[in-house]
Amino acid sequence: MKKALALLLAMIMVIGMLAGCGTTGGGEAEGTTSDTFTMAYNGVVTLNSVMTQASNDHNVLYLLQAQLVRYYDGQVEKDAAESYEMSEDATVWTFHLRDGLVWSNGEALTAADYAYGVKCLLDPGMGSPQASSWTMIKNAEKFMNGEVAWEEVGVKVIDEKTIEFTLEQPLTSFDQTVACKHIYPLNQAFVESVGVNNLGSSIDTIMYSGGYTMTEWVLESSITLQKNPSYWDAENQFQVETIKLLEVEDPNTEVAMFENGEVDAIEEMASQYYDHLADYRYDNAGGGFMFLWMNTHGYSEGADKVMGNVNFRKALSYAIDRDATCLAVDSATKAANNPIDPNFPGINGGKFVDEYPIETYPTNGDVAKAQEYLTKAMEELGYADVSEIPALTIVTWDTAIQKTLGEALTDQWKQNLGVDVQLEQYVIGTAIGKFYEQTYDIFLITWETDVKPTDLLQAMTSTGEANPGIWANAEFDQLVADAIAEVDPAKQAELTQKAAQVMIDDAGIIPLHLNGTVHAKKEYVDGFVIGVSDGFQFSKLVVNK
Amino acid sequence: MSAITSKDFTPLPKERDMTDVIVRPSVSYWKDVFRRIRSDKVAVVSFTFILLISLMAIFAPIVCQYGYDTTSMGQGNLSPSSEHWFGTDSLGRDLWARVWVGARISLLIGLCGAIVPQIVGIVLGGVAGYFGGWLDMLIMRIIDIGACIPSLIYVTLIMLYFGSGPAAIVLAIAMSFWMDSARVVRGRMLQFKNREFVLAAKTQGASSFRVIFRHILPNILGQQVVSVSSAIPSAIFLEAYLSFIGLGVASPMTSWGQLCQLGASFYRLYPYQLFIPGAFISVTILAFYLFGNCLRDALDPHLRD
Repeated sequence: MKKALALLLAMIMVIGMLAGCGTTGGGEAEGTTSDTFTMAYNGVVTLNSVMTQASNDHNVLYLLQAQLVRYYDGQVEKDAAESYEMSEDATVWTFHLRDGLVWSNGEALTAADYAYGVKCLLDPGMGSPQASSWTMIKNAEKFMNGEVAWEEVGVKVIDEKTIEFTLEQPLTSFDQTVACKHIYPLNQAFVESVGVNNLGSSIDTIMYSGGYTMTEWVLESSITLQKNPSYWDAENQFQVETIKLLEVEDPNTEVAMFENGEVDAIEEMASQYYDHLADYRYDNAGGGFMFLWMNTHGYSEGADKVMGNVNFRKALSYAIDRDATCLAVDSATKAANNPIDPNFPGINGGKFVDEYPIETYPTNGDVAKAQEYLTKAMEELGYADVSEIPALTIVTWDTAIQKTLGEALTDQWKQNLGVDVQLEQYVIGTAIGKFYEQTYDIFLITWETDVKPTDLLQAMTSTGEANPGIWANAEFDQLVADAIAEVDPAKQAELTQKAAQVMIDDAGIIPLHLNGTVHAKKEYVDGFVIGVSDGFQFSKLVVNK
Repeated sequence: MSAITSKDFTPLPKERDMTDVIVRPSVSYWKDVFRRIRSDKVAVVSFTFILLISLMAIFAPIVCQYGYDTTSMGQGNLSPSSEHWFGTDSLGRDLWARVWVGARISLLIGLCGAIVPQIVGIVLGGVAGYFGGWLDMLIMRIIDIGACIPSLIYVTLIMLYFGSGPAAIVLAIAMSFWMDSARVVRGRMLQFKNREFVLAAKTQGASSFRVIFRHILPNILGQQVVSVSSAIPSAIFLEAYLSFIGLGVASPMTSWGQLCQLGASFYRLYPYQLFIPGAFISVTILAFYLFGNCLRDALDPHLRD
């Protein structure tokens, strides 16, 4: 009897567990008003626009503040600025504000508020982590170091509705920088009354100028936003009355809530649910690349010769079927064969990579060509057999997905070329230390693409911040420098294209795939736009429930 | 009155002389242990299972037609079939091959990781308890200090120094786990060292070595065997955990723990990737536990029937 009871109890427990695994029913909750949009959100760190450095915070600030210009669907869109122009030498940018801009409390929103916003970012006394993004502004760096007064900095309020930026060097894409790096207006009197450290710490310590005002903020739980009727284009933009951002910790709960209709969208879906919610997927690939960083000096014993050989490096690159690898390892990522983010706009209205294509390896690999390059490399180096090639190491950080990716790569090199590469994983801090110490033959880590095509290329030059000295190409360095200095957009694009071509041909730092995130949204949500590096673009969001 | 004659006596039956003769053959302690184990059905079944798993771990990867690390991109996430008995993982690697290669690592680490610290603990704890004095003081203070440091710190330092591999993991586990068993053994040693049978052995001139290992240890061993059998699962799990913070066995080598970790993230879509290695871990751990339990009964001289 006792045994039977124990068995029964055990069975009940098993059944209970199985029930717990089941999918939650997909019945949508009825009766919710269609003017509310609810989203499962990862949560904000701070809404202090001066101190934030998280994209999550910027997403909320986007809803709360009117910026000079902002991104919409990959293009720069005018927000508070009615128009803007750059001087012929591309060093002076002037933004003209619209008529009748007001803060939500009725005060006038003027050019001085935007100038003060920039001043706060640069003020050494405030220590904004975003300060380094604005060093292209004239004397900004000196102001940050306390060498010059604010009046010397190239931010000038011409009149109530005009603000002028003077830059250190010609920059034809300053509007993109402003849109991507965000300039939020700040009211000096208000900031000084609440104190810069308290700014954005509660709903009362923010002044609102954007599409929404914040009506409730429960820390680490939820944020409720109400439409701001005094926004300059309240009639046509931000039509959803209420936006609720719910902070949900557990990815399983998030998906269950989505299936129950408690949330209309998920900001970031956990990878295990990609296929489960395939119909609701909103993919976002870009903003950064996973690169193979080939240490041309080698690290393993005897690796300097092979790693220094361009044909050998090319063989490694051609041997990878990037499409299949992305699909198998992380379907949010997208195979890449060009160091320029495909999201960057070109100069003729299309995408940069389409207007200025380069000759490169196929994303699904080419084993025959890889073997050809390997044979060539072995001839040049005097190896008779693949087994004479020294064992190499590939180093990366220690997440499960990096492990799978590393295993996929090493096995393809082994199967397709017979080259042995050992995967080594370290905790992220140690791994980054190794990256700069150059104690690896190949490194596997991502790098952000930033605002414009040349940003990433500049970081890859022999003196760039992304290149610890593993690869150097004088031609590439020169082309990148020329491209940055060039004022004419067409010539600049051509130089950029050439630089990218050299980078691919020399196979020093090789793109593997574009990073990606997967969001989920219900079919009744329209105008749901999230940019890769520029976040929420909800100005045309509609919930047709 | 008649004299007592020899007729008055009848000889006792011969058998009376045999009363002090040991009829049953004399059995040594270990023979007895073995006999009792053999007669226990649960012990036999669980031991057979462990043996089977071990043999499969040794031979299955050798005869399998797929390599455990051979990826096949188009063949990812296939369900179990006649082609791939346990299906494939996301990179198209055959899970049958991976489960058995993983078994090698998991069993090796499980067994060694449980036994090595136990041996160290028994020797040091036994010596400390038996001899007492400054030696006891020294060893126990080392344990007191050592136990204050989180074991993850040892593990991380050792793994960073020796690199990742099964030997380093076992060493790391031994460094942090020997202290518990040393404490227990010392306590038991204190309890037994003044008992009569120990005194008897000492009186007859037995050396300390003999007293510890022949007379006291069998009394303690039973308990320690059980703690070994329950330490095996924790060693297997610790390996899985280490694998995940990047300190486990180096890629592309795998273990049951790693297979489970990887399968866990996809269990709603591909449950077999979690449940197959999961079932192996569970049943193997159960087998070790049951066998350890029977072994405890068999090893304890007091429970002799």
